[in-house]
Amino acid sequence: MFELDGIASSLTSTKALWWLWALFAVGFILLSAVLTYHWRPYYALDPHVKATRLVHHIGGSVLLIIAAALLFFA
Amino acid sequence: MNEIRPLVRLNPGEEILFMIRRHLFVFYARLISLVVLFFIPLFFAVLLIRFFENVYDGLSGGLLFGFFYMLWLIVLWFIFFLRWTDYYLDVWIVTNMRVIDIEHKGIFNSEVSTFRLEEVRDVTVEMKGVVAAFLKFGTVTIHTAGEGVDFIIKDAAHPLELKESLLRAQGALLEKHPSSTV
Repeated sequence: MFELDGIASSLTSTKALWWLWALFAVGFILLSAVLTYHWRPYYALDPHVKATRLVHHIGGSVLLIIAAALLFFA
Repeated sequence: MNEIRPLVRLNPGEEILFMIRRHLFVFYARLISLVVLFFIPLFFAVLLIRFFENVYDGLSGGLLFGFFYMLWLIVLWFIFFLRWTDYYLDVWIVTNMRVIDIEHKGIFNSEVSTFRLEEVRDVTVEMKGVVAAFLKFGTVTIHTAGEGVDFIIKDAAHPLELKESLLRAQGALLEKHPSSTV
């Protein structure tokens, strides 16, 4: 019971939330990088694909920054 | 054009005439679930804020709700772009020599098939339902001279114009090279 309480309190700590944020940030960056590399052949075929990837990166980064700011001030 | 070589190799003298995708309506229809998922946490905002205040002692429930909602939006943002890319990269490219069909199945699997314009025997257009008739999209089936091989593009935008353009391109090719009929 004591151990369960310990796990619960560590999961509900601010540190755990920062780890969660880091997990999302790394996941987003890695997946975006893989997809960007994978879809490279289409960039020359249609410039809209490249522009869309850029919008995706910027949008995702903005959401990550807002999430970090909200957690920082919480 | 070097970058697209692994995907589409254009022959000498070959030009892209037009590219066809599914109708935008199909893409929008697939977004409805994402819109619902976008609003669901907002409906339970008050409950969630109270929950966060109880679980995370000393932290602002409202700001934590915002934090988790942003993470939720990142997931939705990713799914949105996967769906958009899947829609946008499924394309038919009609050149002055052939038709190239690029189809994505999942994220990393793609299928590229081609057939020459001379092989086109017949083009069938099927528009089913009020929405399809009103917005002008439908299924285009191209019957080729191959052994029972049909090429199908579902929910193509402006299918009648596509049919006409295809047959016009085929006519121009056969006029140029009359001996190339199958």
